[in-house]
Amino acid sequence: MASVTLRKVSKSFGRVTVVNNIDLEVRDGEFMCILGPSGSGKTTILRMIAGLEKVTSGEIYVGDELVNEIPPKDRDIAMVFQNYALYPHMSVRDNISLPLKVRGKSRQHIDEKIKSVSEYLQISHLLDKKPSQLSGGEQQRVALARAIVRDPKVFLFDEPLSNLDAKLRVSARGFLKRLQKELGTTSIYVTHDQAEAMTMADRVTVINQGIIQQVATPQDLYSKPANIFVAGFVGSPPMNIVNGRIEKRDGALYFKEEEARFEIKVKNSLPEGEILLGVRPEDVLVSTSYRDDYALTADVYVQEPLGPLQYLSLDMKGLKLLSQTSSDLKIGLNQKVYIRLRDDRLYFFSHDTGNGLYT
Amino acid sequence: MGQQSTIMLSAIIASAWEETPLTFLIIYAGFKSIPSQIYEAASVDGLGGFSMLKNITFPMAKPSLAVAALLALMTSFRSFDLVYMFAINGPFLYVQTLPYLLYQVSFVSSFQQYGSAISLLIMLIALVPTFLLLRMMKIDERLGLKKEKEKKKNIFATNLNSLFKARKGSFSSNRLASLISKEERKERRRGKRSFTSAIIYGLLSIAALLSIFPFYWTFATSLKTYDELFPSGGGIVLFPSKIDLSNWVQALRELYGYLVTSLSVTAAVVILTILIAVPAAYSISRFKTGGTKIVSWNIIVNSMPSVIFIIPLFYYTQAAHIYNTWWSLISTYLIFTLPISVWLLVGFIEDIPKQIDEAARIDGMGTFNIIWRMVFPLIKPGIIAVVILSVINCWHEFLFTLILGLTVFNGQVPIGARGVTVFISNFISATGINWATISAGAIAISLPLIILAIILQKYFIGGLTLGSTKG
Repeated sequence: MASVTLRKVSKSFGRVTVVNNIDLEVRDGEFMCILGPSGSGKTTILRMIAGLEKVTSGEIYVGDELVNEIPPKDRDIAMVFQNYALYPHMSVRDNISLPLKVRGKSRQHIDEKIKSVSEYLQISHLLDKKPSQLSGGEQQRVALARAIVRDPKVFLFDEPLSNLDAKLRVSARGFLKRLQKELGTTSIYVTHDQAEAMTMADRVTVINQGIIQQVATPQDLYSKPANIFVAGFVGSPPMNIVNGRIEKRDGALYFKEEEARFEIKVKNSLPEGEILLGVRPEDVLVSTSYRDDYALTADVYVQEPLGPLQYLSLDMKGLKLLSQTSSDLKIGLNQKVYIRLRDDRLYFFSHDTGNGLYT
Repeated sequence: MGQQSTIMLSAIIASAWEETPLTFLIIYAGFKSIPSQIYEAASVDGLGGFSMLKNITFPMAKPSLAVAALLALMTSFRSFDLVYMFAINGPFLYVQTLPYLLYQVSFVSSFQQYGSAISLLIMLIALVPTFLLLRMMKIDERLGLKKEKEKKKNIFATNLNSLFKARKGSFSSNRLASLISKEERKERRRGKRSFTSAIIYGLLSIAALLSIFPFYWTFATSLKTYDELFPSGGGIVLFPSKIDLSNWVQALRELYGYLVTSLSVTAAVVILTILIAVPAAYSISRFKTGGTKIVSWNIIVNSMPSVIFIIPLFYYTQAAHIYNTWWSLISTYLIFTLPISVWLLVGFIEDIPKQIDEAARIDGMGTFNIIWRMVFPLIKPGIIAVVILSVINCWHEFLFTLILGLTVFNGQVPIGARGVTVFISNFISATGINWATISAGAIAISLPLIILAIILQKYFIGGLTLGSTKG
């Protein structure tokens, strides 16, 4: 086991810079998720750690060892690919034993390892099958077995759940998290699915356009997004972002929105002038009848029931706000509703830099 | 005059018969490559029968139709061996092609400067269909049916690949029948013989008969006595009355030297081709060594009538002191087998997901190990294709072995570069043709190819990589 450290790592393909001068430390035994939209450079980071891509500049350490010039096979890392990359012409047994065979391990050692790993992952009955005879979930377990079998220092996962169907994905998520904790192996997990990152990771690195946006625990990521990108990317449905101004009147600060012409009093100490207001859908409270504290009004534009809860797309004179409420609230299309934004859960972002403004 | 047109017609029919199977396969692969969803969509939209053919099948298979037509054009243009056979027998040159003229001028009349001029002319003319073909290869991109990755591949490679990948066996009548829709077969089983299926079966039977009859005729002839060959009362004897093996004995005795040469040369070419082409294709596909263009241009070499290379190769073999040795043929044939093999294999290797290599690399393998343990088993259908193409190339070849070979192998390795095709032509002379012996020899020569086809049949299993990766 080992930590993984990236120092000022950049990667360019020709003139295109996909990873831009990133610093990242993955602690020993940690489950780190790298979260970002497609094309953000997250897979490239993983491939550089694996040694499948050379860094353009910067240094990568596994433990204390600088691995820039070390070929993948000598880095002592294992990788689970998005499509599993099982060797189609080999049986499951041969697939799993191959990493040990090419390292010249004894037959006895290999047999013991295969036995323990396949029992652990519950694939003993599949050992003599070919990958094409397996279901998606089984293939995934075989790919995991191939990674685990040689006790590597680091696991790399490249969206390993994205080829599973929705139901299997949820159970595989829990399984993988449990597995990582039991083995205690440093793991780096790349995904574009924020739910995966939030549920599995000890810490999440959010990346966009090759630049790290935030490194934080899932809870901090949600409650203290570093900037507007993180705020919009983490959380589903995404945070509502509203353009407006902070104005000072009678010693108090007000957020003023121009389009729907509403105003709310803010407690935070914020600079006057243009600003972005963020409010999560679950913090847009809706009432069908007038109440004192529900000062804003809107029409129901779209209603999406989801069983226990529902999404309401609200129209405030052209300004769209998404609200997530309980299904108990009976509501119809075009109905006029009263809204309150939970003022203890408002986020503000700089209009110029998009960075979060916290006090 | 009458004789001239008869000979011309015979030459045309003979080469058409020779061309048909490959043309058929390419068009068939083109038809097969049309996604079934498109047919389903079209039938929902109300198309069927002729309107389906006109609006969907033919327009979408256009690239392979064009490729088939161009290939047929190119092969007939370079036609040499057939013409040689026809010409050698007659007092006048009733059938004359440029390649044959080149041969005549350069190696019979020894005006090699004149011959070189003809080869340039042939080359210029042949460039037209070649360039058309190269342009055709990009057609599938415009159709937008291919996935992003596959777009780079060209139609001909895709066609050839799909021929070897998708097909589980050779083109048997079974498969022809499977072209008929399931419903029709069901109907037939119920005893409701529909008119259309009768027509289809009728046509298929005729096609089958046409393609098989020459084989039968050759075989029957090989068993005939002289009297049966040319019955005194005229007419044709379809079935020999008794089995006369004397033709076979004579043919096999004389065939020995030619056969050893052909077998050895073919084996050497096949092994060298695979040893060179697999790593080359791997490096082109994975390391982007940039050989793709060279390979594409080399396809031009393959599409040119090989006769234009004969004069330089003739001098090369003499300068290298390998004239009339097996080496002359091996080094010559490699020129033709390598580009097409690399080209084909690049397509197969591109189909192996890169992650397989990467996983292997992380699992601890070096490049050599990856090629040997991962790529090689995964491109087996491609290797088989290369073996078949190389064997056919060597076994079929007539011109080079005719000119680069002076003597027949007589036990002195590696002297004697006359291959089995020359054996056949040796029995044709201006004074007469020993049809029965030729036929026996022809069957004996075809046997190795037929045996190879039967052995390799079971390897035509596609979809080896299916299921290794998802998504």
